[in-house]
Amino acid sequence: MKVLVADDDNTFRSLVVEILTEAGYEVRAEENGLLAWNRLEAEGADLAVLDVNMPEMDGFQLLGRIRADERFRDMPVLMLTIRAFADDQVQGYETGADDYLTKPFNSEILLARVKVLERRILKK
Amino acid sequence: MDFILWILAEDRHLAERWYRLFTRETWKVQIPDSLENLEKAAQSARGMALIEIGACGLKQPKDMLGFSSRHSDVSVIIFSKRDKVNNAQISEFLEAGADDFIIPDIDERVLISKTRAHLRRRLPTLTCAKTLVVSRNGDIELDRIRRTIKTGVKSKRPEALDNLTPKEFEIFALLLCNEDQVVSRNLLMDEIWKEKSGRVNVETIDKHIETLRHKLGVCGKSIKTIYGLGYSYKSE
Repeated sequence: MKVLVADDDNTFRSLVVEILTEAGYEVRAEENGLLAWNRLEAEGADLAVLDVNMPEMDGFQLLGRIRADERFRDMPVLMLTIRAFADDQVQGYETGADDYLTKPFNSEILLARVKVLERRILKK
Repeated sequence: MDFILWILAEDRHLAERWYRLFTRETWKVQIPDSLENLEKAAQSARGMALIEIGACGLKQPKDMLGFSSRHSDVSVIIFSKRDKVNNAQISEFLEAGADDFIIPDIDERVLISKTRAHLRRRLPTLTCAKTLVVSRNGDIELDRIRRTIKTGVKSKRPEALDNLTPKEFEIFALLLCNEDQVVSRNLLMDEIWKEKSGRVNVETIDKHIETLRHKLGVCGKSIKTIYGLGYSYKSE
């Protein structure tokens, strides 16, 4: 199961990569939305974990681009961000996020939520 | 098959608050008084359940596992006050089949958005869970409960369209629910003819669409044929 991670914060990005890699996922990580999009186009992914505040292309813009593209329209996406306001969460879901988790996060919860999204892929 | 939102909560006031919230969103909502009754209802309907951890039988992750295995068509969002469960317990419930965890004082707009996100996965479109469907240009209203259609809603004199057969009504509802998207003939067969879909041929569907277009008058032009795939409703 290939997971695309996009986060400009080195600490968080490394942590997410470590948690998911240890759980057996094949992780590709990028430090901004544009690089993540390029990586997605080049290598594809089964699932994505996206930060919101990133340079070049933010997480919501990336999510919008993902949902507008036939190839990735159904790919589960979890937003993982410091933006905890209700308006941000609503924007995330309305743009097409499947789940929304705020930082700081608990590693068990992140992993459990990623597994919920993975289960949906496997159910299909 | 109906799509229902069930709310199973120990706190009756919370259940009623969420009942009002989702009813305002025109969803069909029920408040069963036990997990057993929810399970009975889930045998003849698809849906989503908001279930409080500890309420009426969903006490352990194994209860969740049992529920999920019996009702794979039901999406489950569990909830609990934050001080009543720890992260390990929440994770166990999620791994046992729950689709999400929320707290009772979640912002209502976030709750609606979250449930919509879950429904997007469960149904061809979210709006199919709605009882009232309105075309994007606001000119057509279709009420799935009263089984009525109004055209020209934006004009001073809206008209009731009451000459559709039950099948035509369901086809139109599905197209309107999926406005701007392609509804394949296969989906129409499965959703409208259900278990009899194997006995329906393409010509039957095309004939129903043709009649539907005719009965819809001016609005009939909004049903576009997507060659080789199916149909799409696109309001002018």
